[in-house]
Amino acid sequence: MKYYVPKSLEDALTALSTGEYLPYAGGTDINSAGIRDRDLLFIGKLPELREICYDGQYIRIGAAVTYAEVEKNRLIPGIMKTAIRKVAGPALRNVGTFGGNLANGSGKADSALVDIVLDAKLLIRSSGRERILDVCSFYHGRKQVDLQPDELICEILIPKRDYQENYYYDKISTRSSIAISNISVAAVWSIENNIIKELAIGIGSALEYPMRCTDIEKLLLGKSLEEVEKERDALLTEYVAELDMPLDRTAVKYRKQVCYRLLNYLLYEEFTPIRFDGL
Amino acid sequence: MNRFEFILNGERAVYEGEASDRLLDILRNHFNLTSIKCGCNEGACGACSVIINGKLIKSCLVSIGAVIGDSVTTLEGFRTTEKFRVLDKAFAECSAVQCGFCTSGMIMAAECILSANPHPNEEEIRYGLSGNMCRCTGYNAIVRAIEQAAREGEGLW
Repeated sequence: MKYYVPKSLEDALTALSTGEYLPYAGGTDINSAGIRDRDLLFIGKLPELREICYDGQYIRIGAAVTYAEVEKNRLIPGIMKTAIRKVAGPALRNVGTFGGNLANGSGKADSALVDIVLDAKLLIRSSGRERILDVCSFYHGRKQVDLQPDELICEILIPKRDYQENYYYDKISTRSSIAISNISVAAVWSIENNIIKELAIGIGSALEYPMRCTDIEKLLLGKSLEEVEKERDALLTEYVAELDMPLDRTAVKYRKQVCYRLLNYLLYEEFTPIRFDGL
Repeated sequence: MNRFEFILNGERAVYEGEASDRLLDILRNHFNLTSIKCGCNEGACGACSVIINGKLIKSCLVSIGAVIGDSVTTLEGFRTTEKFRVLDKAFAECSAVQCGFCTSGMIMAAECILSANPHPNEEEIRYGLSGNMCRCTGYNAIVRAIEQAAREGEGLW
């Protein structure tokens, strides 16, 4: 078998354009799947893929940056750090990369759910071509992503917005670590004068791929906290009932129940008007 | 056959094979470093943990082509240090070893916990061990052992 360690990103893209190589960043998916019959392109050490910076508009995370590196970086929004701390264990976070978590197309990808809720974009390059794609458009179906064999995800671009400091993230799995999540929910929002001004909610793992709950967002945006409190149960019951959950090892009924509870907890905890009775 | 050079337990090492060959198998079968155990084959149990460039990494998830020029340390290399002697004593005194299968991974994880934080509290120790599974001890003895090593190894980490 062949392998190649590129000297630069351009070098890597040229090699990838031959159609012969499988990109290897952290390599955890390749090794846990036991893939030994492909020519590997080792991109994990490319400096162009390993930076974290802020360009005035976007927090830019290189695709070969590991979870452990992001955990320590002060530029990274709190919701992303919270999600990352629940991924696997320290040894995996030392190796698993942001780009890999998207490119593997897994519906259970942890950082990908947060990317979606934060309206991230992906900088994708091939030899001679470059495109920027909304991460919400990246997934087409279960394990089907908008990434050609000659393309590399180079950077994840997270627009920096103040309201990202209000966040919620929870992940349900069979253990507290080293467990692929069954259901996860992530959200960021802002509330002004008791009205929901901005809102992004996403569900991960329970569906074919991490998804924004655009229906709930539309129903809640612009509503007052009093209205949310009144309508919360009916709204969520209907939403969860209509969610198209694919068959999985974990039963659909269970996933829907837990999904309802996580969303209900989010709305109850964060969107209930505060009342001061008798003070 | 390709040739891969890296640093293994402080010395230059050469492996001839395929870039996709797994580091776990290379360390066990080619270099006879049997402290590395294959417990699960999928990066969950941590029995294959080694330290690469100072970071705790599971060798079952690494292809040799990814570690060219890197410094790999296994328990066989770490065993010569004073830090190991302190951990060894603590693990023994706290009964933190039963079947022993997870132990080499636990020791490597302990070294990484204490190198990052010489005085971890219990929560920090458990967080640092969260990638290592033990089916025998229930983890508490291992946590106590690391706490003891942190106390008795004052100044080493």
